[in-house]
Parts: sequence; C-alpha cells; structure tokens
Amino acid sequence: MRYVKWTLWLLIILVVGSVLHYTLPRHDVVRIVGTENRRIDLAENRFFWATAPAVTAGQQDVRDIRFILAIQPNGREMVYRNEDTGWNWPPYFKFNSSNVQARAADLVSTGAEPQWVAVTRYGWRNEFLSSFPNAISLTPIAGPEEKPFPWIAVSILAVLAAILLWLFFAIRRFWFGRVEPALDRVEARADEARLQGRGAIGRFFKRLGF
Amino acid sequence: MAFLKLAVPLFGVLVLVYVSLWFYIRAGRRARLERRWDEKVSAGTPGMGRREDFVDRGLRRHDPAVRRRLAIFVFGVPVVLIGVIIYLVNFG
Repeated sequence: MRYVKWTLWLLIILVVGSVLHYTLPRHDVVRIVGTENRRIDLAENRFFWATAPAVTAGQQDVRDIRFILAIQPNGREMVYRNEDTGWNWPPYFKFNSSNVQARAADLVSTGAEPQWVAVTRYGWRNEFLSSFPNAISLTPIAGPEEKPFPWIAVSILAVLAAILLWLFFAIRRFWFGRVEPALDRVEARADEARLQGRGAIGRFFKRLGF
Repeated sequence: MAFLKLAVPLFGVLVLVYVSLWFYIRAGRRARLERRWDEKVSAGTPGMGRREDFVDRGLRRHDPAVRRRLAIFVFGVPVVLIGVIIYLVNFG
C-alpha cells in the first residue's frame, strides 16, 4: 500500500512538473539565422502545436506554420515555431505571430557579426516528437551573458506554492476541526452500544443459553 | 468561438471559487462575531441579547459589502490579468 501511495505521488509530481516545465516562459539567448514558412501535416504530435481552429472530423489538419531558425552561443541549433495561441491553452494570448516573424527577419545575423537575441519561449524542442518551442517575443541584447532572469516563471511558481500551502492548511484545519471530532463521536457511540448490549457473538451464545 | 471556449469554463471556475470563498470568509466572520459576543458578555456589557441574534445581525449587516468586494476581487483580478498579459505579449 505504501509503494502504491508513493508511486501515485511521484506520478502526480511528474505530470504537474512536466506541465509547468512545458508551459512557463523561459529565455534563450540565440543568434537568428533565418525564418521560414513550412506546410506541416499535424498527425500524432498535434499536442505540441497550437490548438487547431475547428477541423472537420476525418479531414486532415494541414497548416502553414512559421519557423524561426537559430544558433545558440555554444554553436548548437535551435528551431522555434511561431504560432498564435489566441484564447487557447497555454494562456499567453499571443495574436501577433506575424509581427514576431517580421522582427525575427529583421534580427537575422551572421556568425562573423552576431546579433544576440533573447527569445522568450515556452515548450520543448524534441527531435523524435518533432516538437518545437513557441517563440513569444524577441529582444535584441548585447551578448549571451545578458540572459534575462525568468522573473515571470518564478513569480508564477511562488504564487502557485502559496495557494497550495494555503489549501493544505485550510484542509488540515477542516479535517482536525470538523471531520475527526465527528468520527470520534460516531466511534464513541459505537463503543457505548457495544458495552450496553452484547455483540453478535455474545447474542449467539445467549441464544444457545450461556 | 475560441474566445467562448475560454470564457465559459473560466466563468464556471470563477463562480466555484466565489462560492467557496464566500462560505470560507463567512465562517471566519461568524467565529469572530461569536468571540466578540463572548468577550463583551464576560466584560459585563449590558443589553447584549441572545448570542445567535447578535451573530446573525452582524453577519447580515456586512453581507452586501463583503459580497461586492469578493465579486470585484474574484471576477476582476483574472480579467485585469488577462488584459495585462495581452498588452505585454502583443504590444509590450
């Protein structure tokens, strides 16, 4: 039973942690090397793209999606998608992907003369799942050492922790203040009843004449 | 359509939060009023009447103000927050 409980808790923490890690905004420092528009056939990895506008059942979900191609300071590649989230999850309310694309095109630079850009983004880059982080905003910065601190993500985590703590103590107080006394009363009444009359076994022996 | 898909569930959740907080706050106010009655009676204040009447009167007198403030808080904060996010993400 204990292992079941711990496994369950571990699963819950894993799922909640993954959702937060995927959804909260983070910053990358990159050099943008190009922008492009690709026609993507959204299949089993639909989860990692923006929520679809109503697609007729049975029809394929094929969309033109904007991409931002970039190189990280360590020389490795990074590719962002640039999609509106609109009113859908996650709640970034991003409607300006066209503007972000124009800004990205403006910030393209070469390795010889790099223009470093802080990209605010959420999501995961995974080659096997073909998932790309969604670029929310681009800010030109002087260099990789000027990487912004993720204030928004930290604040959201702090607020969530505060709500969780409050809920924990409120439920605890409710349990020890209301539920447990009620349970104790029920138990006390049961004990009393058991003392007054005989139990089931007692009644059985009574019927036998003992 | 997408807007309604956000607005309708959000409204439902906020109603739930409003109702829960309403009962939570009311329980706290009731406990405070009961304590005040006990204090006043033990201090010998005359004309305190019955405890239940005192508590009911105190609760009913402030219900409208509490309801108004709670509604502004529960429904106002998310709407303002969404507005701020829309401004910062798209125009900031």
